[in-house]
Amino acid sequence: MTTSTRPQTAIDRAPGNWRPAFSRLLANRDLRLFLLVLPLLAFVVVTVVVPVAQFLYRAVDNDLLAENLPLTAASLASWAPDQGVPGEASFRALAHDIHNAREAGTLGQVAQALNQQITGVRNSFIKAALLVDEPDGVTPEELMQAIPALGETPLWALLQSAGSRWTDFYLLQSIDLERNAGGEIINVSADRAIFREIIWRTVVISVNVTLICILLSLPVAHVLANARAPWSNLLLALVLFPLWTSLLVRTVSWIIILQGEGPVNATLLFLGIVDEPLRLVYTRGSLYIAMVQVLLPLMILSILSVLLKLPKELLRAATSLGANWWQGYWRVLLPLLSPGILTGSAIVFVFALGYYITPTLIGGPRDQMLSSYVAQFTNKTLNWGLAGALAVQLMALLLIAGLGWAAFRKLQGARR
Amino acid sequence: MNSKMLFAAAAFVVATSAAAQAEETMTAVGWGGSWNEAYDKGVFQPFTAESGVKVTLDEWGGELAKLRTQIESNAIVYDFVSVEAPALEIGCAEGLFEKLPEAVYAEKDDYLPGTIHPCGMASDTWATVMVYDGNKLTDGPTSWADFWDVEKIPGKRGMLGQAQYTLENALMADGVAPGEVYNELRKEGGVDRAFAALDRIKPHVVWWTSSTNALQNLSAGEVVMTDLYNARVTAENDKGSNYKIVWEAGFFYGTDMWAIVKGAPNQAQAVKFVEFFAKPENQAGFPKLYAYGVGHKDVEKHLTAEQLERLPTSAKNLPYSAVYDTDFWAENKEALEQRFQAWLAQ
Amino acid sequence: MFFWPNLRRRLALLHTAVILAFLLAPLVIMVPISLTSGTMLTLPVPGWSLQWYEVIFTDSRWTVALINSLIVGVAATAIATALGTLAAIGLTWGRFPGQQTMLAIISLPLVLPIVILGVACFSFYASVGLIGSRLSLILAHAGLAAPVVVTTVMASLKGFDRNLMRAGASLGAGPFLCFRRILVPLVAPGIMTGALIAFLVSFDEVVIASFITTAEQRTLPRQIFSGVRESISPAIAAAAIVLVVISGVLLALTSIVQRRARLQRGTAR
Repeated sequence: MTTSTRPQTAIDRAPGNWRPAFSRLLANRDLRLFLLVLPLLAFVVVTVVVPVAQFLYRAVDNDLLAENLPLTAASLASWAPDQGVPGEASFRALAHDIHNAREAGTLGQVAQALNQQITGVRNSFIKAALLVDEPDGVTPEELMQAIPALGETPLWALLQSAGSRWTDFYLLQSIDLERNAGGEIINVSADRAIFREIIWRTVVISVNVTLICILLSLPVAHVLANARAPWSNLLLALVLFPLWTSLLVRTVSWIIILQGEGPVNATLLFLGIVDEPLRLVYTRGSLYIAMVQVLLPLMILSILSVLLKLPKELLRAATSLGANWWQGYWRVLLPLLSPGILTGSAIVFVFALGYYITPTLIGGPRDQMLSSYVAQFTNKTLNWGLAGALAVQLMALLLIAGLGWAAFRKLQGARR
Repeated sequence: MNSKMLFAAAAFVVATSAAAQAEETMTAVGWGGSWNEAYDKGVFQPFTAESGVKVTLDEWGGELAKLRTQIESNAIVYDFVSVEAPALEIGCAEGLFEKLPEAVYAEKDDYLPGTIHPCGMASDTWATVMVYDGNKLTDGPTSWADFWDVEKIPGKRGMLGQAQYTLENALMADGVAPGEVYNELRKEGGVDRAFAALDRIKPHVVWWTSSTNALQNLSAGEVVMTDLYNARVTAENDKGSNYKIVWEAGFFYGTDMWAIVKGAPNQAQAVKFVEFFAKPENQAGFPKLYAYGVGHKDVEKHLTAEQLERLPTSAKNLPYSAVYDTDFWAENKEALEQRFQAWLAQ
Repeated sequence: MFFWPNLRRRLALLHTAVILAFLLAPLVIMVPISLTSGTMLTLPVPGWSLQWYEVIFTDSRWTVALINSLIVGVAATAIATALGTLAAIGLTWGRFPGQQTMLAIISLPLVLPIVILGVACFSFYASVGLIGSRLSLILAHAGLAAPVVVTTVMASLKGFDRNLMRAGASLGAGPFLCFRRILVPLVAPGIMTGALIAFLVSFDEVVIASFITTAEQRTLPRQIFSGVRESISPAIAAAAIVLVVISGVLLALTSIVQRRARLQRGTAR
């Protein structure tokens, strides 16, 4: 490749002129190519990477409490829960903090954030705000009357945690853990433990969808690979077409098909197989049906792309050597297909993990996946900390899936 | 010729800018679907006709997060929103809403309890009621105890898959009068009692998440009875269904409140609307079309007997009811919903 | 011995037929429902009517949504295609450190759970004061669709003979002229395909839209979504058919473009 062909002029060399340096830089071919990548890279970093990072940071962000309760936290710096309720100085500091937060208009948010960790303190803080017009004149008794929880240590421990800009409360909560009075990490009581179950449910649904997709795809991929010219194109187009149509539309369709008066139930009733309509929609089953329908084409395509590269006689060769068909398939063809199955599984699994629309619309309350809770905690209860922590869990699952996939690939590469 | 054109152009400019000035607008945010349609037809269109303010009607799920971010980033697009009463309480404390005009709040004695607040006034009072299909059940349930009694009336029950509104029903089934339910819930062991009652019905419940799916379950016969928002039932009956609301079993009603968003770009127009809406004859526009009540006591003078009877706040229905306790739920919602989810998953 | 392979083949064919029916059923079922004369989403339909198409083409909520979808889709596609094509060229031909990482970052929106992206976009565009503007949705969709363009253009660049560019340069054409007259025509099918998929990505996206738009910028999928949750009317089915038809037309366009490209390459050889 020719580099700078333009003859240099006197102006170019004039001192203080940035042009020559710039064009010399541009003369580097790789740098020029890098500059082509830069706009999109910058765009994605600004509009995706940074916002997502900010959102995930909310899982540990304690700024709201740190900024609004500085005096209280400072007064509690050397306090420990086993000392019991702290002295008057801390009460006065709290009165000042509440007063300042009210003036700044942040008291509502502070009360809400405290209430997320200790249920029932929200209203008492807002009530207390009416007392603190003269923060120095408020006695501990008055404050304690407005906020009864101040008579016990857990609330003080929480107020003490405002001394740090970070908190592990939400991350712990998102896996059903909490700190006890002594600061040790313990399991939350069984009647509050929900998130491990939700994470597990998300994984189980994704794994099952992936397995179903693999099983259903293999025969289809073989038929597609062996089909002749006009048919093969038509079949491929039919497999591809759903992929090109709205996910939302397809999910709504399943609701109609599976509902009590839908065609499936009508057929079953007509044939006399059932006496009353089956409950098909808003169940785990309907969720699987809808998710598999959406993700199946991706698996078929992944397997097909590998299958098309294999010689057709392979299986016949194996069987002619005395192996029966099943052994031949299991021992010879399937290992060769495994890269396609693996890639397809990775795609299907990763997509399934993040599913939101489909479970929301077609699943029951017990079929909601992690994404639904992320949305719910942001939208409904304004608990950004917990939403961020659940998003961190979801990202961790993705990372594990990605690492697992990479490790598998490596293993396969090594075997060859 | 030239001067004529110039004149025409000038006239055109003047005319269009005058039109632009006359074009006052505001964005109101309701709960969507037929609720929005009824509000549009019954209230906002008359308001536009009277004041010239054009109203864009948006819909949401009452997410205060959306408001808070709009206000924090000073990119406010909503002027006037309907929020649930607990959210109004929180939002008012946080300073997300403007105060009502003093003249409007001064008449608070003319309003039903819980339907007016320094930061807002009722957009609708709605109830969660027990309902069954009159075409399928001739001898329907008459109490929440019947709802729990699967031997008396066999079949699945539809219930809202969350703690709020469900714990109340459970305690009523356990024999607690509506007016006593929150005292019981606040007592030591009260919540446990509600969950114990739920334990008994759990195997027979089909949980619903949206009122649409609850209605479908009922119409398809997947459940024989369900809890549901009363106006959804009335709307279906208007289309020819024969669903029966069991008011006498006891029910709770809640209030959604109109509030003006802090720093809203069209605040003046929103205030104009509040003043318009403070008149009972204007409030009546909504319950005429939709079976939810509004706040002003005199509204009933503008309704027919039939329109009145289907409201949760009518004289006939009110005795069976109690008000949803917004204080209780503002504090306990997260903890109880979490416990409910854990219970559901067991 | 002969019987078994045959049976297996038939079973596989039967299985494929069932799977195809399964894949296509949700699309097919929408057709009669969109043509119902009733008001419920149930089958069989009580009678036939075009009323729901009339609704979506005359009711302002639906027409505004359709127009918004088109505007957002076209603008997002333009941005995604421009940025994506340049990046694909740089990534395919360049050799510089961190290339894999850059590709990974650019592809991030593809694997990121859409809710996380939606919430993140919500707080980001709110913090820059762009909530409730069409621009924020366009930018968000452009980010979502750009990786698709990068992938398709990179694939088509792999088949591109770079000697052609050198030949052009040696004949005195500047880089821009080479780019416009040699590169673009040859990788155009890849760019076109990428752009079409990008458009579909935006045209079908509902989660981000539901987080960052308000009534005035509501898109077609967003309108369908809110309808499903609140009150299901067959207008949703009619809107769905419109979505599917637009997708179908675009799919057909892509395959024509690709076939033409294949023919061109065939004759060039």
